[in-house]
Amino acid sequence: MKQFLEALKKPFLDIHDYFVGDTRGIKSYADPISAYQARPRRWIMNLIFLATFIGVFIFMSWQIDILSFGDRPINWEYTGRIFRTFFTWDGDFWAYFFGFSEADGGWTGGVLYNILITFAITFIATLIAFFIAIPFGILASHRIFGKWAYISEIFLILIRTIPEILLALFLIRLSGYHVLTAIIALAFHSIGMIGKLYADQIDGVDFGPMEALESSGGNKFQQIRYGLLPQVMPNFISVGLYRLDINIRTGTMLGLIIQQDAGIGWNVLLHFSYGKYQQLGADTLGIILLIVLVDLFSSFLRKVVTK
Amino acid sequence: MNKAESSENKGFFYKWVHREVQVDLSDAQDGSDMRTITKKRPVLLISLGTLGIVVLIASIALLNWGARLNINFPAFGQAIANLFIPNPYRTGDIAGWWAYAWQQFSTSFLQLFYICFLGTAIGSVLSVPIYYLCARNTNRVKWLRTGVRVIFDIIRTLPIFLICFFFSQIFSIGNTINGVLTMAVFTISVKYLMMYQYVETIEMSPFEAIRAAGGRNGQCIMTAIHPYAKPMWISYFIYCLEINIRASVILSYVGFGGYIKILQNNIENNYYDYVGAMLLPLILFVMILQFVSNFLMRRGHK
Repeated sequence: MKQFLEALKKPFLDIHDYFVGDTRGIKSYADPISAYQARPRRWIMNLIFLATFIGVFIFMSWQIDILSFGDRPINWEYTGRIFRTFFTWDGDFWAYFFGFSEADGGWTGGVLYNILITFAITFIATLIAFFIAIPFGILASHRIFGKWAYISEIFLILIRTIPEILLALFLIRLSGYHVLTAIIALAFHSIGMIGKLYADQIDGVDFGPMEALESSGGNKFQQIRYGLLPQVMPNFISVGLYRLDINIRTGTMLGLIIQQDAGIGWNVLLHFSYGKYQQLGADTLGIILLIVLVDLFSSFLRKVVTK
Repeated sequence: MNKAESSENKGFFYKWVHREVQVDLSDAQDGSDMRTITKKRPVLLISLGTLGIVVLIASIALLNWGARLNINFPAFGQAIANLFIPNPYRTGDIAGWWAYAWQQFSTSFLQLFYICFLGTAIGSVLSVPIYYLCARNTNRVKWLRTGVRVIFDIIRTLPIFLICFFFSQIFSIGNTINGVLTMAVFTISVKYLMMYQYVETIEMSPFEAIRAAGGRNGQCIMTAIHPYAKPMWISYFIYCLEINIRASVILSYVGFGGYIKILQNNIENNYYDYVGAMLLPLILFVMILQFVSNFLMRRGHK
């Protein structure tokens, strides 16, 4: 029976060795030349893979009719005019940027106020998610809770599945076009991601303190409170700051949905709807400045915390 | 040593950073061997906490809490329930719900998926030279490395709807190539960073061996670095595909048609049975991709 199975497997293993190559069944060769001649023909597999990839690529391009942009010729003069307006950084530009332009809504319509609003929404949402995710992250750690961790892990994956933008569109029914909607949408999605990263961090720490507390009679809660949290807290703060980085990118989009009082996104939507490209340039500059500043600040703090 | 003297010698902030604690070192714990020791306060934690509280208060003060708050739990619950309840005027019965789901999946959702896949594929292929130019161990020219990193750091800060807006000004609005190129740029900006950080952690001894045997730069990278980076490239490909499908929902606001525009219209018109039927493939795809990418990343890191 065993020999029969071996004989059945042999052609498949030979084909595998010929094309892919594998050293599990060790083969020895008399001299280097015959070993070189018996090398796996990996290029054939690569060719098949590449041909499949290109075939899929062409099929998909044909399905979505990607070449239809050629139907209408590109108007370079129009495009150039728009981009020139976009980069015209004159007095009006800076007046709108700092909120002195009454035509664009004054201080509350300016870029500076709106990027501060975006930062405020993101910060509050990340802070809420930072605290709510701690129990979920600990419950999702396989080294503490064993197979029970799957419950929390699957819950976190389900939370992550829903896009923030769709969640915000739904939450409008719950709390209207209000700042609270933006905060809940961002925080809800962040819990999933932060919880998963927490679980990864917990699985990497030293479990000596927790075992010591267990041997001296501490219950699970005491073990986690005194044996685990003090050593993972810097990592948790680092994860939260990293998430602030990512949330600030999503936070700029929330203004599109929540409209007024929800940050820079609403200005962007207004300006490309009405074709005010100079103001759109100011919005873009504001977004870039905000994200770069938060990036630098958070990477600096992360270095300080986890040094 | 006199306590007062020591604290005066160490500057005015010594008392803020340190505190004095009375401890009993005797075995019987009866107070016979009391000592005074100085302990450091958790300065970093306290200062971070203070900073957080100050920023939180400033944020709460800045936001406009008064306007247009309309908390309505029944409406929200009804909206969620209506996702799965066929409406007699639209989907009719449960068979109609499934028929609409299949119709949207086979036409508009597949189109969105193709756009995301093409964008991810183009972006992933284009990001290969970029992350080898950005990594410290494969590119020794400092000015080139820094220059490429700064350019792509700036591109990374642009939100996806602005990238799509720029493309829609070049090619006219409504072309699928806007979406493909947007996804490609977005994928490059996500992927180059993760990949060059991974490439910098790769073991360099095979590279040096090939360098010592006389390999050129390209040969060293292709033989000694690329085989290690390839599995990570594939797992990040699936990760980026998942991110792209989730992020593409915003593109309906810049005149991008198809699935997401229909979805947005359905939500705004309260056609929640249509929305539920449309969301089913999206959620399923994202979930499957998430499980696959989690699995691959766990394997890749081991």
